[in-house]
Amino acid sequence: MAYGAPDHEGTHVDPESLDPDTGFFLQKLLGHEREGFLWQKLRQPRSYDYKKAENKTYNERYRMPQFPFNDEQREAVMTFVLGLVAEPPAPHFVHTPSPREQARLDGLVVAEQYNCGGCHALEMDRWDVRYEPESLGEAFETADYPFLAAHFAPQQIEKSLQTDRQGRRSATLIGMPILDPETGREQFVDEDGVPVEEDDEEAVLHRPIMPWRDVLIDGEPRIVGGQNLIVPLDAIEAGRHYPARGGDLAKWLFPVVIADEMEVNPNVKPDDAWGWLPPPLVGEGKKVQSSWLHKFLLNPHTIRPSAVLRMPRFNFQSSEAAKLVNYFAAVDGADYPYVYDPRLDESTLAAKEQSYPGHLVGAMRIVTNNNYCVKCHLVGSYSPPGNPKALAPQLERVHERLRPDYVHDWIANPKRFLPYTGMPVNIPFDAPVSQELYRGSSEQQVDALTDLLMHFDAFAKRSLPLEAYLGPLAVPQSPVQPAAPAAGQTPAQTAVPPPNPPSAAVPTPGNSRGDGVALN
Amino acid sequence: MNVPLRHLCLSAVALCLMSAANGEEWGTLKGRFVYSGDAPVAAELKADKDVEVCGKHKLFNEELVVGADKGVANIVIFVRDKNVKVHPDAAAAATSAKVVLDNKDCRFEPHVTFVQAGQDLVVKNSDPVGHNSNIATLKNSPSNNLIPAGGEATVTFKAAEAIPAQVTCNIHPWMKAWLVVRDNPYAAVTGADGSFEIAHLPVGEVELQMWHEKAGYIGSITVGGKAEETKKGRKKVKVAAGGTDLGEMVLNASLFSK
Repeated sequence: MAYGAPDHEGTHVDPESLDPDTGFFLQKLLGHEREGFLWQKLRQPRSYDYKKAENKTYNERYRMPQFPFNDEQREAVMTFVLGLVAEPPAPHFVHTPSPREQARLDGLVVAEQYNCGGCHALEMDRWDVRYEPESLGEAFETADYPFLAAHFAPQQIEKSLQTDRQGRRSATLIGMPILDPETGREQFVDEDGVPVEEDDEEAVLHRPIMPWRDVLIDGEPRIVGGQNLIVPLDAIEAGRHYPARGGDLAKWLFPVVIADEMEVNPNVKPDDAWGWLPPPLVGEGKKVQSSWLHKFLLNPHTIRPSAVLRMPRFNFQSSEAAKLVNYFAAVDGADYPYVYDPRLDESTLAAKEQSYPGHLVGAMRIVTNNNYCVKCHLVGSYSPPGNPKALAPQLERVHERLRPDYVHDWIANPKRFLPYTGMPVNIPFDAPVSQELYRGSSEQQVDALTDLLMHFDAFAKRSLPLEAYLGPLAVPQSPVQPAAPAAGQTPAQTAVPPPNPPSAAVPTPGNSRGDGVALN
Repeated sequence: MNVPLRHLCLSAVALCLMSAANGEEWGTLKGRFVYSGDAPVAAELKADKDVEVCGKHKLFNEELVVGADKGVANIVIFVRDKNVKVHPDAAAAATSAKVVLDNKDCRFEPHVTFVQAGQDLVVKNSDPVGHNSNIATLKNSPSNNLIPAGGEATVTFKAAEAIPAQVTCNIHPWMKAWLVVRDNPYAAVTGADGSFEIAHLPVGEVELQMWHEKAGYIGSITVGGKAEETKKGRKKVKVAAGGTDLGEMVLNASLFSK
């Protein structure tokens, strides 16, 4: 029953009949005193719309949301507000976020205003689990590039091995729940990771989780891109779960796009479907260049040809786009708004090319070799034939889109950054690609590919034989009287535009693989 | 008893025990899976990538392969018992031999491969185009290496997998295979005629588990006209010294309708 509303007999509720606190505030409310007003405003803000909102548009109505305060919190807010006098609150009561935190808060406002989270996950699920020691399976070390190794301080390892009074260990898991490819619901599996049928009452239920952040379990690192974590349900229930922020549409569409692709390819791999849906934006700050993201938000274009949805143009103001850009950088601890990376310096590249002549040319041989990048990636005007769902982003734009460190580490092992990606390890750390393409170790080859992609425009310009466009030097022509053709030339020859560039500069898809990349 | 005579007797006992180990303690298990109903026709797959190479080969959906004699291929049978006694010959063979999974004619060959934990799996590419082999293991770390034309990569698994792991090629999305990783040599994959054989099993009772990529765990079989529930694909069998033949195990078509 609403306080103050007539009861069945048409009389008002007597404040005396309620508990002392409620009765006090109700009495104040009925007496039109400010304590009562504030109490009701915090408790039921929309009640002040009652009989006042009929002729108002949505935007003219009161906007104060109903905060999920409990009685104690509500009273704390009231104490603070009613205690306010003409002077501003003491500085130590005023929240003064750091610039990075302010960037995060400002960005969140824009993200919520434009419902970015409707399609994209802005934060992954988080589980603070309390687990029985060794109940999350065994960790297996995998050999990889040293710069991709997980780093944990000894104190973190020690903490991970500590048990509480119930003999449980704690860990914070950040990741994605594994979804059933047919229903899209979160999967339950047994201790071996095998999906459990609904009628299986014997199985001990576990949740499979795809980690998106390296974590210590039983003192051992479980890395992004490694095996999924099979977490007993009791470990989750003993802790706490914080749902992901955003990404619902991608989850809803997950089984739909799989079913759709099954019509064409019955052997579709469920994880591939994530690559066709709006991507999670977790880690976006360390991934993309701020200037590119700002431009992209204002004028989106296709990045992944395989995506089933296109990002609409939101008509952001430039300042709003900047807030989003700063938000992503701030939450990832990335530098913003300006970043200096020596790898992008032409002088750094020149020094490398001096010590290794053919540094970029060798890298381009890897890119255009029929076994590697051009198998799936668009490069310039070259588009690999085949199912569009298997196409990967344009490489000629990487230099303006991605951060150099990200590109370097991504090439080394893409799963360390996007655990569901289908992109393979092209250059295993212990098995460099053919020395005929690029003479050097795996690390040198990864380095060369990074340099090429980050200087792709410069390399393309350098490789473009401009002379072929210029043709022979034309004799200056008088506007009144055309010059006489040179000996052995017809007038038509002197008047024609520069000849077409040689076929190597504008190759057809057929020859673009072996002879060099096709460039726009 | 003098010393030489005592040695003679002990040697005789040891010889008797050894012969038991070599001849009588081990047996072979075999059987055959048969499809009930009309054999389904495998759908043809369209190769839309590297058509000049892959388009030359007729590719079929290998999810359910039933022979003309109704034998069901690619059913995985393995011994569940974790502490099963292993015959020395079987153990030696497993550790010395390499297992090969080939990318050949734009499909994986074989479709289902059995490898033991610790054993080298050589992933080859016999095709003139690049492939990648995306191995989605659950217990072991997954791997996804690009295998250039004519190249190979060696993968080793540290732990057994409860069910076969899917192997796919992201470049050629129609390619799919399965990898059975167990920590003992007692596993088999049915051939084109639906038959299998597991040699050198210890005599006595063992628990088998049966799995198929389309059916999942084989939940029921019919043997000699008698239906038998095999919850989660589990079936206890007695291995006799002279070998055990499970005969024809008929699988209802409804098992594969998932």
